[in-house]
Amino acid sequence: MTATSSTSVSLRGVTKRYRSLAALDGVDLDLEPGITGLLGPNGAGKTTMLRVMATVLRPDAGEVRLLGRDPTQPDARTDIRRRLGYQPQELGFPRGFSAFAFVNYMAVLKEWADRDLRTTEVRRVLDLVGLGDVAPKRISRLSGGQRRRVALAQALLGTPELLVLDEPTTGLDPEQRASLRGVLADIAATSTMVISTHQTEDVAALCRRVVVLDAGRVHFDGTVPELVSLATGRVWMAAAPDAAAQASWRTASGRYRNVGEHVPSGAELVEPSLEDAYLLLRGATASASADAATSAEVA
Amino acid sequence: MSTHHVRPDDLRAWVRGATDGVLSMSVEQHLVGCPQCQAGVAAALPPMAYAVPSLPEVTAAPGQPGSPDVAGPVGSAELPDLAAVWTAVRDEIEVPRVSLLERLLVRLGLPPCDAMLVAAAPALRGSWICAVALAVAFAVGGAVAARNGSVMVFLVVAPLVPVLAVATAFGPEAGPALEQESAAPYPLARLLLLRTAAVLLAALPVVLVGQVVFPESAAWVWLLPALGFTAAVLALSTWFGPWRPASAITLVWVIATGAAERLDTIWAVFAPRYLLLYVLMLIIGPLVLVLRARRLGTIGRIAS
Repeated sequence: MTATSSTSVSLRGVTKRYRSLAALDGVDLDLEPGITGLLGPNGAGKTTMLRVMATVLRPDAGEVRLLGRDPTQPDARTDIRRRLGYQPQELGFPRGFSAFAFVNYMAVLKEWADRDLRTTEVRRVLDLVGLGDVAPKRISRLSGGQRRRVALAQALLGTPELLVLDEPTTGLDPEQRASLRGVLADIAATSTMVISTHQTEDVAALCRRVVVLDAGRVHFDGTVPELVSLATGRVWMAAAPDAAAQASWRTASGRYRNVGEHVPSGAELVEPSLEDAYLLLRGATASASADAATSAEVA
Repeated sequence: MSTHHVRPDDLRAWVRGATDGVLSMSVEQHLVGCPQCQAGVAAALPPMAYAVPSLPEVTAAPGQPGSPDVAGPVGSAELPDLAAVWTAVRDEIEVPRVSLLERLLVRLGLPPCDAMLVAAAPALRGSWICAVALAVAFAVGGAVAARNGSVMVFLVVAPLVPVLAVATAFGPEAGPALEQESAAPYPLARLLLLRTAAVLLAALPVVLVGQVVFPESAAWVWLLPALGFTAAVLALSTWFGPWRPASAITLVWVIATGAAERLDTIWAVFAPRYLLLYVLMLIIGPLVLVLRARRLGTIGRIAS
């Protein structure tokens, strides 16, 4: 893997451990402008990776370059932060702040010194995420989805070149999610955006590229069609669940969707979705992990 | 059109809302059909707070409404700029007012952004409430101590007030947005010190209470350990978060003053060699804090 001049994020052998647990285990990754979706189960290392990219966490080993600069150098780190927007997974807001006051406060920390320009920018990002009407409302009185959008609004301040978003669509209703996808797609035209999510629909709708993490390692890195193609010829609709399938669930039609190598009797082959491919990959990863554990025990 | 008009004094009174019911009805009935008096109302209105100083030139084509050769209200320079008015209304509703403290800090020479961050600290209610509560508790303790003729309570509590207030200021309750703040270019060490200043400001009444309760004892003497401990907590927070160092220092101080009391030498904790120790803490603490913050790029409880 070679970083090019257009590479915005470059990770080489990045490792982060929490005691004996490797949250990131020698990750190599290059990201370029556009939206990259980060998929993986809970505890896969997605949030740790995003925190490293957001300069709030330093890895134990490996090399990180963000926007062409080394975040371990104080001056470079400040420069990166001037060009970075970050929405963390765990949201925290000081009590008593209104949505406007919080984004305004964050704008000061992001060096928007001129009061009038700052006010205009705060209003722009709040309008962008659809919170213009509730700007004066206290954050403690906003819904969970609205709070998540407040956090997103502060990340969008100044239209950053690198946007790191940890589960931006969690807690949003379908209409809000559709609206937000439009906003993010517009922003991604001029920036590098990394989105961690559990929503495969968001990845399918937004992302040019998808990275699947599991146990701190990259298990897939490619385009969405490439990931979907992994499931081609492996998704079947049948009248009954297939015990041999890697994943099987009842659909709204009453028939069962079976994902796996095994062909259930009387089943009909259907077009795979991103979710099918992800589940198939997850199943393969789990099997490989189990095999590795068995081999280790035997050895 | 009526040849009679509302008297200017009555019109101004009506605009101010100073006319009685009968006169008001009369004026209003007349105004409906009298453009001249309507213009008088406009002149009598106070200047709008958000009046636009200059309006864009009318660029309507000749012969079109708004062009100079066509008379009529459209295109009149008296039309308000609705966008500007709406922006002003939103400003009034949304933009937090500049507080008295913020204005004062700017007057004292603090850059406006720093002043805003300090003034924003009261939104971190937990720390302020805690600081004020500690101040009140200290005042009560001081009064009890004075009645009993003992300075023990005073000595034990006083240096710990700023320490605990600062630790509170950086606990999870007070710094819930630290993850987001950490990814911003504003120097975290500076933010930390500004918050400290804001919280210490809230704890300042303790000093005043101390002076009032014990005018004969030099309150500044216990200010030295207070500042030294605070600096130590800030420096150690880069490794352990704020609460563990604050708890440890509290424990050590309580044991030290308790031991000194038992030995009947309560003032021993202010012996020159200990004063030197507090001074060293005061000097080394901020240095460590700044160096650690520069190296880690992050501080406090997310320094993992």
